[in-house]
Amino acid sequence: MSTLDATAALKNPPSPDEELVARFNGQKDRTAFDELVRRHRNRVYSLALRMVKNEDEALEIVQETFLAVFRKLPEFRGEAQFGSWIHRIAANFALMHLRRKKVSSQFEDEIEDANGHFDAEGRWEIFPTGMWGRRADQLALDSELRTKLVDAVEKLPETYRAVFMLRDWDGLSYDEIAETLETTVPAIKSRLHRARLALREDLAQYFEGRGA
Amino acid sequence: MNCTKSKANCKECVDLLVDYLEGALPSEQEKELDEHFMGCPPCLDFLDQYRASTKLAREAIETEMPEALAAKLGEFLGKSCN
Repeated sequence: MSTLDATAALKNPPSPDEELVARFNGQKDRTAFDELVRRHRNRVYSLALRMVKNEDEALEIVQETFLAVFRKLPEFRGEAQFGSWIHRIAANFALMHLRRKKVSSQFEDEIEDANGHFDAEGRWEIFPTGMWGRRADQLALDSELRTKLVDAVEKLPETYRAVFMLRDWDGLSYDEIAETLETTVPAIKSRLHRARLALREDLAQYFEGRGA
Repeated sequence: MNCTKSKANCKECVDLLVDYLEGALPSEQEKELDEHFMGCPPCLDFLDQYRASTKLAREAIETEMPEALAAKLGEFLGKSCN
């Protein structure tokens, strides 16, 4: 950013989402809606892509989401943050897509828990090895590691992936996720934990292979 | 392994990580886990790895919508949102 651009940005900071919503609802300002789309489309797309694992279907979800946002915006009262609201809508469309494909959560694979690592007294039988966890801030996210991570997320069973995306990616509350997925908060926490354990396991194997 | 000195065992600590990392445990239980992690290097490594996996995965899945798809989205919304 040039000095002039930086000065202009300081003088004219971007409008908060809520201001854009008010402009759209009050003055039917279409440019305000377009700006909201521009701001949120990458996050909605990332969520959709990881949930359905297909670019064309992800685009459909993004389109459905923003069409629904356009129609429902006059009812948006700001009880939740605009970002959370839009991501919940996107999550619902992504889940509808998955259900349409008849991938039912009740028949899907479970992730094994970490019980196998412990003895009867709850002590480690297989020690977690490697220093990579401490160096996460310094680790370069090169294309190999990025691919490994994306694969690890995409291979999580559907409901675990959904919980991981909604909580660790979108930052929705446990109550919001439980309502969206029609289950309980303890069930959500359990799935989140197992999803994180599975990601750690995958990464541990990867770093072990690299001697890290 | 001096981790046996703390009340919580390794498996209990791992099972409680979601609430521990969010500060959602009762204070006494949180203290027990703190003590355990201080005295149990494998659990401390595991905690670091658990936290790091989530952080790295979050960074890796951030995806910019390809320009061609963004153009299709714009076209779709131009037609549908009237």
